[in-house]
Amino acid sequence: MKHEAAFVFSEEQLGYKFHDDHPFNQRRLTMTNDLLMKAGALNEADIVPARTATVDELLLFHDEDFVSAVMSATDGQHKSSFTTKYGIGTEDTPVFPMMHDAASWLVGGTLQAADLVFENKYEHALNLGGGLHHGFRGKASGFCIYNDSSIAIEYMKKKYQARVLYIDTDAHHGDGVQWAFYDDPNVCTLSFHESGRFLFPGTGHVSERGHGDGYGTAYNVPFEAFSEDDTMLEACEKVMRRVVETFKPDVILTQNGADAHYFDPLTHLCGTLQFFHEVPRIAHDLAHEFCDGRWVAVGGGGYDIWRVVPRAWGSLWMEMSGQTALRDEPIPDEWLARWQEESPVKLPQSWHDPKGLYPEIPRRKEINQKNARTVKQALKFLSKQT
Amino acid sequence: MKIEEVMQKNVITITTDESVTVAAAKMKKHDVRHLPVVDVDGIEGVLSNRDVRGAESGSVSDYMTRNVHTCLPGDFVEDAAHQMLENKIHCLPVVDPYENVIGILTDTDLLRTLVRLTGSDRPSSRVEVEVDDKSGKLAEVTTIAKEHAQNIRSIFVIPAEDGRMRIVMRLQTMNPGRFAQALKENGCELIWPEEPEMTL
Repeated sequence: MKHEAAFVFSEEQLGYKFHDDHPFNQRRLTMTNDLLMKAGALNEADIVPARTATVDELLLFHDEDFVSAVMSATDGQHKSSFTTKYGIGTEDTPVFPMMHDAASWLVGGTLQAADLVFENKYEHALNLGGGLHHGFRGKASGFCIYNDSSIAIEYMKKKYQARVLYIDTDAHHGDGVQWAFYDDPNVCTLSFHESGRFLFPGTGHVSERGHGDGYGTAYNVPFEAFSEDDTMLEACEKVMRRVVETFKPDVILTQNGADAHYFDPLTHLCGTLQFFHEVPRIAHDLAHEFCDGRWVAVGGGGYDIWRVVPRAWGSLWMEMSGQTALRDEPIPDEWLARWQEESPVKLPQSWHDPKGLYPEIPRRKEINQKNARTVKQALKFLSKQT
Repeated sequence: MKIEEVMQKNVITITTDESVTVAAAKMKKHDVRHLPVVDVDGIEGVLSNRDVRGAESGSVSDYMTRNVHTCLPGDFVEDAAHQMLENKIHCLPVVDPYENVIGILTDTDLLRTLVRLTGSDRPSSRVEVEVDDKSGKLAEVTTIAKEHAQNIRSIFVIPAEDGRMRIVMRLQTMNPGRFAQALKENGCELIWPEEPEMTL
């Protein structure tokens, strides 16, 4: 029998750690797993171990000299030229012990998830350690070394001849994946993000639509700063559906960065948990409607590891595994007791954010209008096609 | 940057005696809007897609613009841009000392240069400040960048009003927040990212 959803995780994925003060903190994985277990949404038996990716698999996407540089940086032979040429040893992506190994485990988790879905063992599979969407072919960028999603897309193309739709709802533009498949007509990338005017990496304009044979297989919906749930969800619902209908993918790969939340310290969007309940729901519906259920999900950004990431990713798993009713239960006391002491902020007690989480946005009307205009522009190409 | 670094080197040319319909077809085939017109003595003129619009017969020499502006490969890009703007033209043939056409610079090349100069095509975060237009101010800003281990991918300075200047930077980082805060604490007026309308 086909199981509904697989939860891919291995301890080795926790080794992806730059240093104590770095915003990218994999404790979020530990906290998410613990929350799900204590909420009764995940058993040890549900967890499928990740694996490491082989060098050959990394080379499905990355340049050989880049992978060699990461490997030698891992061994402590850091050259200053690595910083400019390969983006390793920068403030964002510093060198850390065993970085090649740790990054390979994140990639392997996403490959494992892809295999579980295509070998018909599971309808959906989740690797929260993945989603490192800024990694380029030959350069690390924005906390990302190896780009697990780009590698997994190449892998699914080669191994399963799949047409892949990549949907990215991280607050940052999914640039690494977009540029990787910019001229590929068999891979479609769709990224929702905070406008590049405000936020790294600065790209992801609605006019970026692909190139050559791949023209019309890249979509971008940049949101104004301070956008709220309603306007963002309306855009996601509309554009995701239209793109799936037009592109007709075999599988949907979603990147579920949890940094579009109001509490996130690096971004300026005003999402609440509602956003993280609804986005996976839309993806889930579309996967069943158009892809025979095939849905691979990965994590991504998310820098409020206390109040946001465990709940957002926990909610994602509940959606994938058909346990959304659990969101009506309170956050388990055992979890709060385990983590509250270490947390610099008060941990939330509900899977839902209260109304009035943040002050009224004065420019709400203008922001919503601008976003509606962006959606229209993003869909322009699609209406011409049909 | 010099013109030779940004110009198109595979330049499509035409001769004075060719027919205007051939010229129009050539523009269409190569997807260009301007053809430098050449003969044995070098550049004779430029034929634009506007010159040939509606033309059905005649030779290139009947339609081309003569005595055109040209530039040398060693000229600075910014001077060429100024020349094009002043003369309201969209291309400059690049010639060698013997007036042979060796390249062409169009407004598209200038836009590409602007993108390269500002780094808007590379992963970066944008920070803009206004400071007094005084010697040493730029050094103060870049020193703060160094203290915050920020790698500046591009930087430019624009004159502002009332003895002020604006400094626009693109930084190779996901997290420019602390750097921007430090600039403010050191007396820079933060223009971008815009101040949030609410306290986070």
